[in-house]
Amino acid sequence: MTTEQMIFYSSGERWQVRRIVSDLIRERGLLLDFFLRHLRARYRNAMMGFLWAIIHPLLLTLILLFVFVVVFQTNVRGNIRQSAMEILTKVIFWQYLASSVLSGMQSLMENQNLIKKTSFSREILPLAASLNCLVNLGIGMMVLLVVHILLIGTPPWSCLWIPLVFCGEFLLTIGAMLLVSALNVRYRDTGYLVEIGLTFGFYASPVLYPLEWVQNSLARAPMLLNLYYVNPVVGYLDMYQKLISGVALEFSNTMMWPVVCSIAVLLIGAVVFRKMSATFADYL
Amino acid sequence: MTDSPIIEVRQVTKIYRRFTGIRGFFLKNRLRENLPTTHLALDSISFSVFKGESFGIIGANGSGKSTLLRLLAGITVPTAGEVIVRGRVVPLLELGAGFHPLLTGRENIFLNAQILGMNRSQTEAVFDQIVAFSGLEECIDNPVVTYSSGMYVRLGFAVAVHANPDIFIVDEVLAVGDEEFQRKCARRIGELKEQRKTIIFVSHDLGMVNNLCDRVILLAHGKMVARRTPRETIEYYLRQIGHSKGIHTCCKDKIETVFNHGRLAIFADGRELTAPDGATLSVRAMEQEHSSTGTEWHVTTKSDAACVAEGAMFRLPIVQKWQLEIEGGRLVWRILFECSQDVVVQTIKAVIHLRSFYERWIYGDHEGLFPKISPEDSTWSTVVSPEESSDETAALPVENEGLPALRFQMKTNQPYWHVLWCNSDYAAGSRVLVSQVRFPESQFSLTKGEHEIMTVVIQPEGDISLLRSSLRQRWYRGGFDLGRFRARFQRGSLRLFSSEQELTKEAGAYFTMLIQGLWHDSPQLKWDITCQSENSIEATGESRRFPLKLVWTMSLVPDGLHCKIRAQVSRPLEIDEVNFSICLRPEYGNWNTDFETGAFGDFHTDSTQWRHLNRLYEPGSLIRASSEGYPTVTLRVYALEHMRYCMTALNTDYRLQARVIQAFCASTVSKIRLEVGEHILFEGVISLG
Repeated sequence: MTTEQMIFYSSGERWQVRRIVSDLIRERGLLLDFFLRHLRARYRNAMMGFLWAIIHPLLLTLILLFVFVVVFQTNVRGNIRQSAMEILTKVIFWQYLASSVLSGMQSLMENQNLIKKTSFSREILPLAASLNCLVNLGIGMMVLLVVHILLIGTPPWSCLWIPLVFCGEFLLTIGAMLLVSALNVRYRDTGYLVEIGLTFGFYASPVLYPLEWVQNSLARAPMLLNLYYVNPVVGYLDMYQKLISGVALEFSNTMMWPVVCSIAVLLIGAVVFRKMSATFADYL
Repeated sequence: MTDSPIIEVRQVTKIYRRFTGIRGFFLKNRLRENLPTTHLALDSISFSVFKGESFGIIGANGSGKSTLLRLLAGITVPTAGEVIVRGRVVPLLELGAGFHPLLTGRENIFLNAQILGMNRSQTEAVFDQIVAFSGLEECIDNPVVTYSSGMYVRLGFAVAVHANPDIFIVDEVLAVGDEEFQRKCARRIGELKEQRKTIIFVSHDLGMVNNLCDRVILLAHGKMVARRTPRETIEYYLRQIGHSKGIHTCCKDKIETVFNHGRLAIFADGRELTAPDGATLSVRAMEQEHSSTGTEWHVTTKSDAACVAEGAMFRLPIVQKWQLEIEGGRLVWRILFECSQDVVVQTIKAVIHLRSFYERWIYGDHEGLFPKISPEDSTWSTVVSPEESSDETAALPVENEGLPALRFQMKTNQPYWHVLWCNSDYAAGSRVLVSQVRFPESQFSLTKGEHEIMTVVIQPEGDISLLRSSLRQRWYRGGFDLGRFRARFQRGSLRLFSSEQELTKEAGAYFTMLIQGLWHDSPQLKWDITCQSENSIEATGESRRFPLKLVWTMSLVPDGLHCKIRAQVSRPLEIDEVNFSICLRPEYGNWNTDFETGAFGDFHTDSTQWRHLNRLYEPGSLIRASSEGYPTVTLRVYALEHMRYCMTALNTDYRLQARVIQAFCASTVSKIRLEVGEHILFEGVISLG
């Protein structure tokens, strides 16, 4: 096939939904470069450089430990160290979701120039941003591991399931991020809404408290409890908590919902993003 | 090559929705009629571009050019219709758009290349070329935040041109960067064109568009206009904006001229003779060029065949006044300056760009071909610029183009004046006639009041042989053949030549009078050749300030050129001093008079005065200047009853760098008094060799 005959670009086909995967595979180099660009540039002009990526989760850990081990220990019963560990884990996973969604949204705004001047699959920008959050999560996990060993000892074997559970959360995060960042290009209100939503979600999900407490409190209001369960993050956070405390996972409907929900959100997000991304340049 | 076009645009329409916000959301129904909520940027545009073509898009701001480029680059999609591109596109819409300020130049090159669709190994292959092209070898490992904006753009352009795309989209990016870099860009684009890459070109520089593009479309309010050739499309556009801005078009006898904000476009039989840069006026003052196009113009009087336009210059206290008139098959372009205070001006140039279809020039009795303009030509080059300037010249077109030959006649009262032909750079691609008036700093400048600068008469001429012979006749007017030498009288100054070289400098041989404390040089008078035969010329110069007329008679005698200057005075006049000077080239090293011999020596760098070199001031009859390579120039003066001339040799100031031999007559006791009538002021013979 000669270059004359090959269609490189057709306005009718370029942004078709069915081409998402092939586009991303073709432009994987660019995705990698954007990811590295972020990473390199992020701490370049900072004196402590990459150390900041470690300092942030470390400080978070220290303050949570202070709250739980020092402040709560004297006032609350039970295994404080264990629950501190659980909360810390959940906070870090929640933070991954929240920061991914926010930075994905920002990435389109920050790279307006690029979107207005060049033609590449727009998905790359939020994806690269979320990869960065993934790096932060990884570093957070390392810190967590060290703290666990120091505080309690070797983590239980069940922790090995955490990556699998995380896969579900990852899909959900990517989906939500794509959906929200696409909407934000056209309706800037989305950004404000998302910020409020994330704060709201932080308390409406079992981050700072175990799910059992909610189950106990809402035992007599099953409607409200079901409403609470609609939030797919609830299921994931519960699973993290169980795994870190050494409880083996049992297959149940409550575990199915988040997974189904995540896949649905991912599909919706990807399709909406793709459809809207064709005209991003007109709205930026 | 297969025949499917590399770019196909089919019935493309693009509608932008106007953002109305929450108010629009709630008030939608009530205000629907009043608020247009959409904007039609492109309206059913269709065209195809084939491989190797250069395709230009022109149009006013907001006409949809950028939208079209975005569609072609795949940045956004049309509301209706389809765009198909069969090759890799590199848009140069904004250079360096993807640079991250904190990363180094090197890292950014890789990232930017990646965005433009190159992979890592491809980038590595051309990395050195990119760096070399951008000229940033030294700071390639510094973060780009430390770069100047020019460096930024250079790097961006360097990456883009090395991305080796099939299709290049070039927006107004070449307007950035320094002159050297702009030339580099223009050359590179020329190269890409030679390599038969497809180039989509958007620019307001119509000269460049015309020169680079095989086809041109015009966008006007989202609609497409295309004429048969790029030239015609551009002409249409020029006329369109000309009318819409209330600029004037004069038309008569098949000649048409469009005056557009200090730029003239000239048409004959509906075809444009001038290149898109047209005819402009450029004033050099305070070491800066001030173009007539950068001036606020308004047409004050208009008629079908004539108009007067006035333009107040922004940074000079000058109002330019152009009087245009088409009369008797010729265009008369008269330029006047109205100065609101005294201005020091260095040069004033009328610059006329002709289309490159003009391939021959006629200058005096010489004729020649313009060299071809190639992409390497990044600067203007002089084609013909004889020291002996002619006030008439002509350009002849390629034979079967059907364009008329053009005859140019320049008239000016300003003493220092020069006419030359140039080739422009590749981007403008035109033949340029420059008619230049020069003001030596030490002597002339524009005083407060109105000044006639020059008049250019442009005349299309059908009969070339007639044109040739009339130019030749004209050339010999005012000239003498002295065997190996020639002399030429032009507006109060006599200039001497041996074969091709001029022996004189600046004003040449001229006569000057000190009246009421002011030097009154013969080139400042208004001259007219009243009588010419084969070996004599009589010219009359009228003073604009005093009741005085000089009659200068020159005739060939066996030993040289006899000059006699008479004054006709209508009221009694007192003169302090007169002299007859010949300014010679600095190569003249020695002088001698009846009494003394000497060398001219070096020019004094610190001196702004002319320095006398002789010691004796006795009435004499002869002064001579000699040099090794040049013929000796001798001035013999006849003794007059009432005036005794002394001979003196001078060096001019350092800047002027001329040797002067002079006969002067200064009133020692009383002034030279001229009663009403005719008086002989000077009589002498100039001999050469």
